[in-house]
Amino acid sequence: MLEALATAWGYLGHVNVILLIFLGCVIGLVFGALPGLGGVVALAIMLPFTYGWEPMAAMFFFAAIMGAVPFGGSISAILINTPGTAPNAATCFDGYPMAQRGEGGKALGISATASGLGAIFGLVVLLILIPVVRQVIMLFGPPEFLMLVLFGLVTIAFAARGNMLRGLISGGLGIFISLIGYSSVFGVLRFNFGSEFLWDGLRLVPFLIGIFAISELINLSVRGGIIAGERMPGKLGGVLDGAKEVFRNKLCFFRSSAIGTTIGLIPGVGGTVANFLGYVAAMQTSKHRELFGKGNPEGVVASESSNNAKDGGALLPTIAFGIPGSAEMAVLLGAFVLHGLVPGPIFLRDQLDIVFALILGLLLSNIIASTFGLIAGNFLARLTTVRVSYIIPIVLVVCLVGSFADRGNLWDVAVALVAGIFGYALVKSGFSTICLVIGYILGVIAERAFHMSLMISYGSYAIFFTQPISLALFILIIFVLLLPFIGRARAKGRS
Amino acid sequence: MRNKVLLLFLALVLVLVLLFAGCPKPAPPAPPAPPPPPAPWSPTKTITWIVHYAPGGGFDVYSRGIALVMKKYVGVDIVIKNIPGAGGRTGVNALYRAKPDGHTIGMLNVIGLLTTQMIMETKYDMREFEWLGRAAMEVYALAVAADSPFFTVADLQKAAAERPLRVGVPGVETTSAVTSAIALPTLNIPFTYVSGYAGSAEAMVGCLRGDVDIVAYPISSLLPLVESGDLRVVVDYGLERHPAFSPDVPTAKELGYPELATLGLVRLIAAPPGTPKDVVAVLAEALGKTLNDPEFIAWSEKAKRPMDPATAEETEEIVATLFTTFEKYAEAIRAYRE
Repeated sequence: MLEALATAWGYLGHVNVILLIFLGCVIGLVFGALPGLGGVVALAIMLPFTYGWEPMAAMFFFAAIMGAVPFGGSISAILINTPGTAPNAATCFDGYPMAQRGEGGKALGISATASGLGAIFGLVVLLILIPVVRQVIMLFGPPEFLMLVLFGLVTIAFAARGNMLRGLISGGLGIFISLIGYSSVFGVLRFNFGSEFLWDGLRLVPFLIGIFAISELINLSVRGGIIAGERMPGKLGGVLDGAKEVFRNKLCFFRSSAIGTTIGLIPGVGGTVANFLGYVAAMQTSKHRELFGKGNPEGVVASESSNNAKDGGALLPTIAFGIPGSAEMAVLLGAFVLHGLVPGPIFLRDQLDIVFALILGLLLSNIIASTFGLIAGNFLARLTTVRVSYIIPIVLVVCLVGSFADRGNLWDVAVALVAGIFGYALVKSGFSTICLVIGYILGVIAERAFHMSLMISYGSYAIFFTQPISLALFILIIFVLLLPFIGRARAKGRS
Repeated sequence: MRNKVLLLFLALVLVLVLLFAGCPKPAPPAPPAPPPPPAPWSPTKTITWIVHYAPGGGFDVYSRGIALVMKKYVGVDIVIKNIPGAGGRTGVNALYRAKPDGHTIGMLNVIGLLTTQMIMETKYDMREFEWLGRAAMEVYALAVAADSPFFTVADLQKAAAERPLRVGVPGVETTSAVTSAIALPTLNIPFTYVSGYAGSAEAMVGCLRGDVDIVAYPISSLLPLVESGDLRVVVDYGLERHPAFSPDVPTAKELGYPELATLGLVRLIAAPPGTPKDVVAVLAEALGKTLNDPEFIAWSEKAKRPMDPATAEETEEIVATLFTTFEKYAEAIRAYRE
């Protein structure tokens, strides 16, 4: 193993490899920040260019791209409430309110630090788990998966801060929207009104762009002024302040990174779920639960550490089984084949140097991106002081083009616009977008996990309680649900 | 002053977005073409190659491998365009409706699309495409986890008689599911689907976990896990034995079911309906040369992506045969989707 590491490390002595890592980092930042593009598009575009390169150099390049995307996406999430990529969505919940308070720089500082450290966490876990990768991946199946997602769904009841009924309605709506489309479990089309466009349901990226960005643009155009509405002079800087916040919330950071890595290594789940569950877990267990969604730094710490940690986790099934742990990993697998590498269990044995190239590429790219974030954060945060009459048209165009870029379908742009209007109406009526989005992201996934579990068990519900991890997670859910009541009972007992 | 800098920055962002999202994928201008082939037609601009799945999958990888080498023989760049959606139908529709001037072609998953066409109304008709050739054909095989008690088809039949065996598939409309809907009744193995896996690899892990009993996939998909000792192949649906499998593995033909050999994953390349014959001829010839090009063959061997090239005429026959074969099974397939 050390030999492979030495081989990969040796490549870093070549100037062109270092340059490739820098280039990849820049590409990742740009594609991450531009909504609708993201890592998958960046990798797919760069793939043909790398034909004929030495496989190791190509892997450094790809890893560098992937490493910088999450932080790049957080920049737009924080400054203009537009998730640059879907896994940055939860960053909007608390990052943008911070920007609105004039703390954009601080939020970027949190993001840069949490992203970099989260990535390191994920990679360390990856290295530790390599010897036992197969057993680890096989621990998680549909029943365990259902419990994980259920944990996220029950947060809906708490996330609406005092207005549980409205929260549940939003959540229910979100779940309903997630069911639109073809179900591969049942082989039937649902709620598509005969249109083939809705076959795959409402696409994640246009929907999120609409709900977050476009609805906020409508709000801004009504309100006028600048994004940092309650700006405090002189406090716009604060990147380093943000960096310190991560260290102040160590427990939150470690928990979110752990969740991100774990979900990342469950194949077929995706980064968005990792991101959300990390955020939701932080919300459930925070002492200042009611501040979530209003600009609680903990929220940004949780969201950004989990979405970077997931990359380390997602590498695991990719290299161990050739199963993509995320959408970018799927393209990476294609890159492997293009360069004549065959993914699969043999890969870990024979191509460990490639694995280390990926790890080092991810690591260095994250460090470069985070450093850039810390240096440029205060400058970027000035975006929130520009008059919205300038920002709205440019951001609107960026959002609409991003919705189109998702799969080249003009109707997705319509989805974004409608979602935007809907999101604006929702917020104005006092409903929570957080609950809506949680339901939308987790709804259909929970349904699939549930039904697959039942298919596996020939219809018996016992499967959820006989598998040890599934049972443990279920108990955890019950415990967390009862936590507020336990706390209240204790307080009453004391008084 | 600072705000002006910001605005400039924003404008730059805008330009970047338009550049990256709006323009076709950047490609260097084509080098001066070699002496033109002795045919009246040759492409005048970049050719678009449609892949109706997302990047990274088998069809995408094969297409990219071929397109990179085929550039030499057509003299212009070939750019891959992924149009995923609706299980492949969005991309197929796009190819079906594309302008038939030789500048758009695509690789199609014929079996999946063909069976869909038989069971429901579609906007495309597979018989109308102009076929350029076949890149590969892969026979399916049936596998179980290495630590399962099943070693022969007889073992499977016995167990299934007590309760149906679970087959892991991504969806009831996928080629894997359709293959099982035809093969398993033929082999007298009652079964039930566990469907909803994200892809073939996830279904195979499900098999290793013991969540499902059987998986059926093209041999190249199964091979990594067979070679690592995690999966055991019980029967090979092909006509000949595969060198990588242990000598205990029979072919379906040996067991008395040669018709299962038609259940394969075919990767065929086509041009839109209405493409003129001379244009098709030029493209088909270029494709043929690519598939026999030594550089390409070297790549396909290193990447373990086997090729079975077939000419345009042969491909047309293949499609016709597939239609007749699957028509017989249309009822069965329809029943299992319920």
